[in-house]
This record gives sequence, C-alpha cells and structure tokens, in this order.
Amino acid sequence: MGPDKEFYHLHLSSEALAIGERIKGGTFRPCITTLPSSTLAGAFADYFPGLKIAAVGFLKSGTYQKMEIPYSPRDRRTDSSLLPLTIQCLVPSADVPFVEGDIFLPCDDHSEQAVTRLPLTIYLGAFRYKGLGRCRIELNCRLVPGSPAQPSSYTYVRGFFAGRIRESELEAFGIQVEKPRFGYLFEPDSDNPRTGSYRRSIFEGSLVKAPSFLVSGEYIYD
Amino acid sequence: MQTYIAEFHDVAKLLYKEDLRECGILIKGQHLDQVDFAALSITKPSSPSWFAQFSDEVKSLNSTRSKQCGDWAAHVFLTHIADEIASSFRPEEFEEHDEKKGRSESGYRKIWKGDIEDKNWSTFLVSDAQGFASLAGFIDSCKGHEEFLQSYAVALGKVPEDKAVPYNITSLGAHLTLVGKIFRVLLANTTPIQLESGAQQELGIKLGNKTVSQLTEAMGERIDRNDRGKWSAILALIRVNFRNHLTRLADLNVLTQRQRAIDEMKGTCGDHVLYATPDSLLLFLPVGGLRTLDDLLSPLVEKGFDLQVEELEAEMGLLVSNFERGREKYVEKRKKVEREGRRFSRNLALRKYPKSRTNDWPEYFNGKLCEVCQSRPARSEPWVKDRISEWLCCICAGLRDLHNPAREIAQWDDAVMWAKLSLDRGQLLKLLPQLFAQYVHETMPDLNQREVERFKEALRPLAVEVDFVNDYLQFTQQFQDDLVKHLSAAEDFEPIPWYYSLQGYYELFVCPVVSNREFLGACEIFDRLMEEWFPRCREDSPIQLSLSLSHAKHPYQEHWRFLTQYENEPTAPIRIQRANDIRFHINLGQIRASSKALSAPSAQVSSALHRLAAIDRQLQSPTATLFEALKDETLRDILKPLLFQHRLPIETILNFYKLTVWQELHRGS
Repeated sequence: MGPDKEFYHLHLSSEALAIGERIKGGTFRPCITTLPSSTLAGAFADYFPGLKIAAVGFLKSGTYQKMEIPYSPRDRRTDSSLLPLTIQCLVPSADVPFVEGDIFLPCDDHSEQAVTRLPLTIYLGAFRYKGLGRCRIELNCRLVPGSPAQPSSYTYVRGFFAGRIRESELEAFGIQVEKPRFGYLFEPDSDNPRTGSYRRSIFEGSLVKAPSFLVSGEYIYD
Repeated sequence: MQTYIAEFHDVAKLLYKEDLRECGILIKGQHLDQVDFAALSITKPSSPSWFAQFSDEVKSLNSTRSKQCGDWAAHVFLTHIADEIASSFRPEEFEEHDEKKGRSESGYRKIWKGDIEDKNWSTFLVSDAQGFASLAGFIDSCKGHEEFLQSYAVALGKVPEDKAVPYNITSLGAHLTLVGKIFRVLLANTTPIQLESGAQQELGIKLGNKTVSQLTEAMGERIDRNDRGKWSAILALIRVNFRNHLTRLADLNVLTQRQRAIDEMKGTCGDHVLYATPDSLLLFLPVGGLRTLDDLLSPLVEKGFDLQVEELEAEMGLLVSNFERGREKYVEKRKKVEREGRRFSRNLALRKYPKSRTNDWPEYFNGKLCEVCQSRPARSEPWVKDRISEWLCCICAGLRDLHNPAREIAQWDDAVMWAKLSLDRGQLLKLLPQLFAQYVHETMPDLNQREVERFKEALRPLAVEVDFVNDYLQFTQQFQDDLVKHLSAAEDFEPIPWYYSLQGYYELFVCPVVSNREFLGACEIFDRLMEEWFPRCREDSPIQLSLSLSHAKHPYQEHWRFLTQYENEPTAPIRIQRANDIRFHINLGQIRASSKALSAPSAQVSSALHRLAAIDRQLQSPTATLFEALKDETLRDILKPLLFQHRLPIETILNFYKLTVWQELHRGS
C-alpha cells in the first residue's frame, strides 16, 4: 500500500497539439503522447504565477492521430529559407471532435488554489504561435485512495509507468521506481525560465509502483 | 581426448529400421545396443557419445542403465533433462493416453506449409549396411556437435524429431540443436558429486546448492502433479531496441551495430542463445549457475541498447517458450489447488521489465540533450557536417562516426523504395498452436473438437519456433535477392545500379525504382514467397512487409518511422506509403485482386475512382458509396470483387490505383 495521497483529476481537450522534446536545430520534431511533468509545470507557471504545481498526464488513445506538417522556417536576416522542418502533431482522430487527455495533480495548498480557477484555456507544447497547443482544462474529480470498485478512487498498483516525470516529483505522486527507463526533462531556472538544466526523469515503460491512474494496465506478472 | 556429443542421443532416428532389418541389422526402440556388431564386421563404437542414446532410460543417476554409462552417467542424465526441455511434446503424456499406438509415420511436416515438406523423407535415412557402418564409425570419429550437425544436415532437415503423425512437426535438426545447447549450458553449470547413502556411495549432481540424483527430483513433474523440481532455469526473450531517431543515413549504423551485438552475443554467450532474430534473442540459463541474466545481457546494455526483457523462471519441467500460456496454466492450476484447501508448491514466475544502462545518467546537466536519441546528455562539442551542427551524445556520435553506410542513397537523385520485413513473435506464438490444431484435424478427421484442443494444449512450441525462425531468416534473404533480380529485369531500363542493405541483416532494403508501380513487384514477390515458404500464414501472417516510396532526398526518418511504427500491430501484412501522400494497408488476397482488376489504367477509371472517393469522404457512408459504385458503369465490374469479396475501402482502391499508374521515364541521376 502506498502513501495516503489525494489527487485532482483534470480533463484536457485540444484541437491540435505538438508536445515533444526540447530539440533545437533538428529537421524533424517528433511529438509524444504523454504530457510530461516539465511541459505541464511550465504551462502552469505561466497561468498560475506564484504557485508551484507538480502535474503529470497523458493523452487518451483513440482520441488522437498523428499528423505531419512540413514547415520551412525563414531566416529574416538573409531572407532565405532554412532547412525544411517536419513537425509532428496530434489532431483528433476521425470520429472525435477533440484530442483528449488526463492530468493529475497532487492535492496541496497550491493545486487547491489553481483548481478554483478552472475551467481555463491554456497553451501547451510547441508552435503555439502557429495555432497549435490550445487546450481547455477543467476539473473532473478529486481522487482518493480506495478500492477499484469505488468511483473517484484509486489503488496503488505495480505496472508500467505511462507518463514522463522528473525524479524530484516522484515523491509527490507516491511513485516507487523498480526498473527505471531514464531520460531527461527540462527544468527552467527559477529566476530565468529561458535557461535551465535537464533533470533525470522516469520515462514511459519504467516498472513502478504507483497510483493506478499513472500506469498502463496493472502488472499481472510476478 | 574423448568427446561426449549429446546430439547423438537421437541417432537411431536417422535409421530406416525396416530396410536395415532386411540387411540383418536389428534395431529395437531408440537404441543400437542390440545390434550384433561383430556379426556385421563393424567395430562397436566406444566413444562416450555412444551412451547418449540411452538418455531416455537414465531417470536416476544410480540406476543400472546409468551405471552402464560409467563415467559418462552425469552427461547422459543431463542429456535427458535437455531433451525434456527441448521436446515439443512430453513422452509421458503419450504413454498415459496411449496416443502413439498404431499411428502412421511421416516425414517432418512444417505446419505453416500446405503439404509434406519432402515425401521422400525416408530416403534420407540410413537404410543399408554400408551407411550403418559409416554412422557407427562416425560416432567414434566425430570431433564435435558442429561436425555432426553439418554431416547430417540434409537428413536432419527432412526427418522429424518424432515420426508419429501428428507429432512430426519439429525437425530433428532443430530438436538436436536445442538439446545440444541446453545440455552444454547445464554441463558447464553443474558438478557431479559423490553422495553418502548408508554404506553405499551414490552419484549426485549439483547445480548451485541443489543436489539431485533423480530426473523428477531435478525437473519436477507435470503441472497437474504436485512434485516440485529442485532445479530451476530461465528462458528469457530479449528484444533489443534503441531510442535513436534515424535522421541521417549514418544513423543506420545502429542497425549494423545491433546485428553485430547480437552476433557477438551468439559468440560470447554461445549455447545460452537458443535462437536469435535480427532484433531479439531467446536465452536459456539455469538458476544458481555460473552466470546471471544481468551478466549475460551486460554487453548489450553497455552498448546503449534499450532492452525489453520477458523472463520465465520455472522448474525445468515447467519451462515453455510460450510464456503467457505457461503462466496461465500455472495460475489456473494454483487457483484450483488452493480452492481445494491444499498448498501449491510448484515454482513458475514470469517477469517483464525494461533494461538499459543506468550507471551513466547524471542527476542533471546544463548542456544540451542529444538530438538523435533525445534521452542522453550531448557531448560538449557539436557534431558538424555540411556546416550543420548537431548535438549528439557519445553513443549516437560514435555510431555516426563509424562509417557512412549508404552513400548510394545520398548520391541518388531519383525515386527510391525502402522495404522492411518484420516478424511478430506474439502473433507467431498465437498462430503455431492454431496451425497445429489444423494439422491434427486434417490427419485425424474423426477427432472431436475437444480432443483436437487437447493436442493443441500439449504443444510446447520452442523447437517449432526455431524451425520457423530459420525459415524466416532464409525467406528475408530470398526476398531481397528476388527483388534485386526483378528490379534489374525491368523492361527498357538498365539493371539497377545499386541497392542498399546491411550486411547480415536482410530485413531492410533500399533500392532505386523507375516507377511507383514497382511496389507491386515487391508485393508480388512477397506474395509468391509467402506462398512458397508460409502458405498457411497468409491470413494471419506474423510476417509483415512495409514499403515506403519517395524521392531519394526525402527525409530518411519519415521512411524509418513508417517502416517501424506498425511493427507488431496486427493490421495487414502489407503496408505501403508514398511519402507525404498515400498510406494504406492491404492483405495478400486484396493485393492479388486489385492488381488483376486495375491492370489496365485509363482516364475514365481514374476519374470515376476519384469521384467515388470524394463521395465516400463527404458522405462517410460505405453503403452510399457502394450504391454509387454499382451505378457507375465504368467501375461496376472492376469494383464488385474488390468491394464485396475482398472488402477493400474505396480510398484504398484509389490509393492502389494512384500508385500503379505513375511511371518515370528514366532511371538514375
């Protein structure tokens, strides 16, 4: 049994978004289908100044499809095109109006203040100036520890982690890592969000013990 | 020095007993010890390998038969264990149900093929006195298992492990290879010891801290009984993945490196590797032995590969290569026993987890993230080419600097086709029992469904899987060879000036094409070879082909993404894209029918198909589109079989049509 934590479950809907690693200069920008804690923390810092909110999330499979957009940025100094760039983004799949996702926030004073301001329209991910990343988030429910049969409750289970989260935020979610799949997520400096460092993080596919909503199916093995 | 070769344990299966009897050579059961060698003027073999044939009778290290094996008793005992692990069916199950009495004998049957592999299988058996004398001499002169497997390679590919229909679905070659590997791993990890038993000294054999002298003591009994085996082992399936996004051609080196790493594993881990595909390995190792799984996998981990490990640890008697099914049976049994209020003491555990290098991931860094793998810190200096700087980690930069693997593609200024074959093991493991059930049904039509199911449940697919993988590897090579021949034979064009593939890795292939229509050639070759190699897998194929067409300068990563993104997703065996334009999947029957129906392109057909596809997109109603198609005189006859019989969506038909009509008039840059 894990720690006795409560979480806010937010619902996200978007017409198109491109969330990916923070890579500069590449010719292809792949997008991912999770909402990493770094992306959400960055967005929440803009919309809830002064509040420190840990969050992690993922998009619901079946609500999105991947689309590739060729794009050639222009160098204004030389008035010439740079190397063409292919942007991968997520758009709603054929039979749904929006890409949908779930975001989870541990309940504390900061997140409590933030959820009182919901619903809210925020921008997430890349190419926001091109119209991507507009998302509406609203409060779905408050999740409490319980049994699988109870509504708005969760259990602690063993399974493969479904998101991306910085190691420093694991405790806030009560996640214990058994077999990590490491990667890095960006963390801006507190005084200058344009600079920062990459922090070791736990990526999807890591074997963890965590609240049931954070894993892709319970680990039924031994 | 005398060598014991476990592969000789089934030597009698290479003999044609009826013909030999006529020559005065009498063979009873699976043993040659009743042959009167002196009367035949043949020297009786004296090599330790002679004793291997008695392995089926050595169930105790202290039995009379075991004592007859002298110093080699432990070897023979371990051969029996290896034979049990590698067998596709358990012999005691036959005895219990009297399954094999009166059953006809046949050659090795590949269940993914429509008919018997070789009806003249018995001609490959030793059937005369001269051949028998030669085999008897070979038992003494053979220097190692490789020599044995090579010398009898043809026969071992034609003769089944078990000739009784319908158990004849594993080649003797695959079975012996597995038995030999497992035996040598066990031998290297065990020690024979003398046990005090009252006044008598008895022989035991020790693995880790567990000593046994009986077969059931080591392996345990069948799952439906309660005697637990002392010895456990691990069967581990390792998928060797990488995180690299292929952005430059040099990044393809990761495929060569993976192939090399897998080949090195076959060298360094030797017999632990039961089989390998271009992206996975199946390993065997005993628990408590000299090496751990971590130890075996460390070379792959150190090279930076991301491993996905599925590990079945069980008493040796419960090891099966179909891990999920093995665990299901175990859990069912455990629940049943526990419901009855008894304690279930058997041991089987399935674990799945990721495994990658964890020791060189700093807690944080201030520099840049690697652009290729997007997961490790980049080096302090950029990797520069053509005045473009890229920030790469040590591993990705190392791969780039190995060599430029595909200059031909970089220098080409025309259309190319990327082709990738893949094997979905999950689908294969689902398919093999179904194919076996189909074979049982064909050979024993009187059996009811329940009895057929019992046969299906008894199948342990490890050796069958090895045979399938061997065929798949040859299939990939032949696909490549035939495609090169086909492209070079295009009318009005010179033979293709180059093609690109990785040495020893035949799943990926890039070649110049003169028209998109050449995708059809690749599909036809795939179709033909599937018919030749795996005709019974055409419907639920575990083998997939992806084709991606574009100009040579099109970003490589888009090809790679398309070629790999649907792997292990059972949609359809063939997926095709023209970059930034057309993307569809199609099965083998559909491709044949479409090719036949749309063989004569015309402007009328083109415009009618475009009109129908527009209606389909607008109305989003298959029924309305169907009515429109039937009203259209130009298309009615063409579309009827495609829409009704093959259930192709109109968009796929249009895409197929668009790809087949475009043609370039020249080749090359």
